[in-house]
Amino acid sequence: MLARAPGLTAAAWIVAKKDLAIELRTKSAFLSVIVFTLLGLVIFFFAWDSTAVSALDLAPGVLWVTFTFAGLLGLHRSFGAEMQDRAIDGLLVAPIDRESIYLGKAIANAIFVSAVLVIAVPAVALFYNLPLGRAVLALGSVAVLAAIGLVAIGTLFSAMAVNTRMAELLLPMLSLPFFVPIVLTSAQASTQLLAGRPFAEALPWLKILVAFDIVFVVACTVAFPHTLEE
Amino acid sequence: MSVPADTRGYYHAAYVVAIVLYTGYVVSLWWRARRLNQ
Amino acid sequence: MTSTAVPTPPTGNSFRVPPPSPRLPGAPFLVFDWLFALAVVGVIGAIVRIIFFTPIEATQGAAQKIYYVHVPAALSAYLALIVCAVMSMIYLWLREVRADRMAESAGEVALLFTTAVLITGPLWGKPIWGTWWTWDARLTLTLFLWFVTAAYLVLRGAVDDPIMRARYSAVLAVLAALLIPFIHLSVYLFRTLHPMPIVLKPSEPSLPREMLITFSVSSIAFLFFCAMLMRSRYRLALLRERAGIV
Repeated sequence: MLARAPGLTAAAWIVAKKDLAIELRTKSAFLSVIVFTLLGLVIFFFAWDSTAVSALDLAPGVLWVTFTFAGLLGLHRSFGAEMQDRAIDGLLVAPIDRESIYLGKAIANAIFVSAVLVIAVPAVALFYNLPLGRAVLALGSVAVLAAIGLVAIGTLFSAMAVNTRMAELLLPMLSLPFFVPIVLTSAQASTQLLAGRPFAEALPWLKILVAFDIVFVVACTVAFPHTLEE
Repeated sequence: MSVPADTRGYYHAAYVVAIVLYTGYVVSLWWRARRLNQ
Repeated sequence: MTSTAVPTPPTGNSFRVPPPSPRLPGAPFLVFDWLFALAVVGVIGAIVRIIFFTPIEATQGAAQKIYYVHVPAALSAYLALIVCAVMSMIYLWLREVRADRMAESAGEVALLFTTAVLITGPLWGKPIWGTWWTWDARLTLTLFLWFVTAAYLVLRGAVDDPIMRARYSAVLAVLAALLIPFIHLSVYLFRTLHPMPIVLKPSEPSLPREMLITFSVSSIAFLFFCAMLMRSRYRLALLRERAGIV
């Protein structure tokens, strides 16, 4: 019986499941990121002059900024495990496309990040006294788009950063410029939606965000094999 | 709002900064080349 | 003749390191040659013309002359950045080490000129516009370019293996090039939807002939200087490789 090597998406799922299985075993990274996010939300709360800025205006920005930094923490861990004992060599000799490794890790990271958001979004509504239903809908829907962009960029750069001398400093330095359009458009769009403004007003921001996601998922997938040794 | 009467301070500062930056870079190139030959 | 261990990268490719050579006589002059000196003379000449032979503009005063060094710096920065991005793409496509060397040189020079733009800009903006900084699309983009260029150089400094260094920085450069339209678009949209305090900009008078000539002279002089800086920096990179440092 001749087993066919898995195709692109099938291989990606296998890689993703492997990563998630490792993470589920310890859950330490997940817990750290959740705690970091919640702490971030709290700290911003105390730095906030509620008479000057309304919660509706502040909360989305706070969420996206906190989420971005928390995401960087989680992403850094994503390739860190592989670099120990050169475990990545096992992936490289497997009969799968290099792109599948990237997509698999990105999918695992996306699931990880979504799990964080499931807790963070209601937390923001809670801490900042936002109408819960509307908040979850507004922030949650934008969150999916933001997470895609974040994970696409972050997975690629963490794969690069982990091979360098100053990985913890380098990953934010590389990624944050790329996160600017994500944070900007997400914050603007979710502020509009949260304030109950018509969807058409949030649309221009969402269009940029979607375009960003498409361009960078493709670009990072294509670029990833270049970051691996021949 | 009108332009302040004497803007020479800014003018001098800008040119000093530019010249310092460019000269500094040229010197750094020279210095690095020198170190490579020792 | 002592034999020295030559560091070889793990996979054979164009980053073959030649054995360390004896001290090259007059080596600093390899980095700087008569063409470079010409560029320096050109810049000095342009500055002399700006300071001594160009009239002061009536409404904006002396600070208007900052423009003659600010805009050419911006043009030079764009030139260096384009060279870096194009060389990075060529490297990824052809794996040609000369392209990577050129990209590295262009990146460093780009940081120099972007820094100059970000310092001379506010020094011009404060007297002319009344504010040190505005988040208008162009300034914001320049600031962003500074961050990305700095990240590019830091990344290069943080990778020891020359092949991975070349690959990583090339990937970063290409992705950054893709990012620029998104930054521009989102900042532009942000600006149109969020009216910022209106900054009084004196309407740009069409430049009289004298000033136009000075402006052109300065632009050409600085662009040539930028090209020569990239060239000298490239030679420095060559020198490094010949000295056995990869």
